[in-house]
Amino acid sequence: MVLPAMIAAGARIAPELTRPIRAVLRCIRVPGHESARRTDANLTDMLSQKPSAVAVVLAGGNGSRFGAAQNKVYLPLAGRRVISWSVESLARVPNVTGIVVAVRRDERAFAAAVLEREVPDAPVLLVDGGQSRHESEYNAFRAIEERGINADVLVVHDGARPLISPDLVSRLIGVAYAVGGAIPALPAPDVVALGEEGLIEPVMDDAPVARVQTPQVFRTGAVLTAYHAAAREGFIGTDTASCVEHFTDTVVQTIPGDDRNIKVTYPQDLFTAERVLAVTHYVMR
Amino acid sequence: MGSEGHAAPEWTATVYLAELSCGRCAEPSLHELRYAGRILVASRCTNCGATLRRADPALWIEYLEDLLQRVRTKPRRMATRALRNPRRFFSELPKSMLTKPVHLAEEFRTLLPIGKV
Ligand SMILES: [Zn+2]
Repeated sequence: MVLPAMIAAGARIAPELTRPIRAVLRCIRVPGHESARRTDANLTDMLSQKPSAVAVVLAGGNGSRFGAAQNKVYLPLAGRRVISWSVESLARVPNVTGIVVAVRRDERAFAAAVLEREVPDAPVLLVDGGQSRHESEYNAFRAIEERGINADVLVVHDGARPLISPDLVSRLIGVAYAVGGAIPALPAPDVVALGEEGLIEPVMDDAPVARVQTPQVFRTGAVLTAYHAAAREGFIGTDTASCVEHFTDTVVQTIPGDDRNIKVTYPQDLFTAERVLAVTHYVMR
Repeated sequence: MGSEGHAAPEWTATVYLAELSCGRCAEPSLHELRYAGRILVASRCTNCGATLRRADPALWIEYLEDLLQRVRTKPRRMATRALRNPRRFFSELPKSMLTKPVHLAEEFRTLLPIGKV
């Protein structure tokens, strides 16, 4: 799917701003009302099954131009680091039997210390990330495969999304196990297409678009097939879904995301996340 | 599965630098983030100076609750660390006790907007 660059006008406005923040979003078609209803009707059956899942948390980031910058997944947030909230939420999902965290090589010792201290009971395996998101994913998938870790589905999550709810992860696992793939998405009525020189253009066919979140969940076989094929062809996907869609005919179903499941991008996201996590009500380690 | 054992991160810094997107610059830039204890108090874009600072009355209440909780749980946390790695714990104890008042003073300074971001 070739996707236009998009601008979310007014989606995130800092209090002192007088002009909208520009953010490039990956946009997808929202499923039609009928298909969404059909999915809801089958959801109970899907969730009654207990597929096993292994989570992959991406903590590498793209590096920073600024040498002094801390990787944002290790920023303090309500008494823990951002990534620890992500890992803990995934560990609370009954289906999740293990969590593979892809970290920058030079941050490996620090990541290990953070997770050991803040989420000591989480079943974590650290692997080296790569130069890109895609490469980090592939390293994690290969580690799972090489160690013979069995899972019906793989849950790929961005470590910079600390407010993921275990309930949403469970629903994604159920749907992915049933149809092949599942991603959370939110309607984005304020999204417009960005043409050359920043001019606004109509969105394709006036079709509804959505903001895609993580975790993205797929059957393990589909992910491994897609990423091995991508490695052979030198393909680098923008996210897990783009690679799986490119190399397999896996059905990828969107389900309603969670507007609290923000990705720490702007400083105000940290203030928001801290408020949501109710700073005085967490366990201190 | 299990994580590798390494030194635990220290919670001494009250200022962190991170690359975040700036609403005013409309691009990623280095941001200074100031914490008082475990509470984020302010952020400042080092490129354009755009600042966000908590100024709500609940800030001090939250901070004092946070401080009380830290004090209350300190013995348990110290015991846990001592049991986990006694050698490291006792070697770091003198420095930790000496610098604690300095950190506390820095937290108070962060909460006061005078001369700060
Ligand atoms: Zn700025």
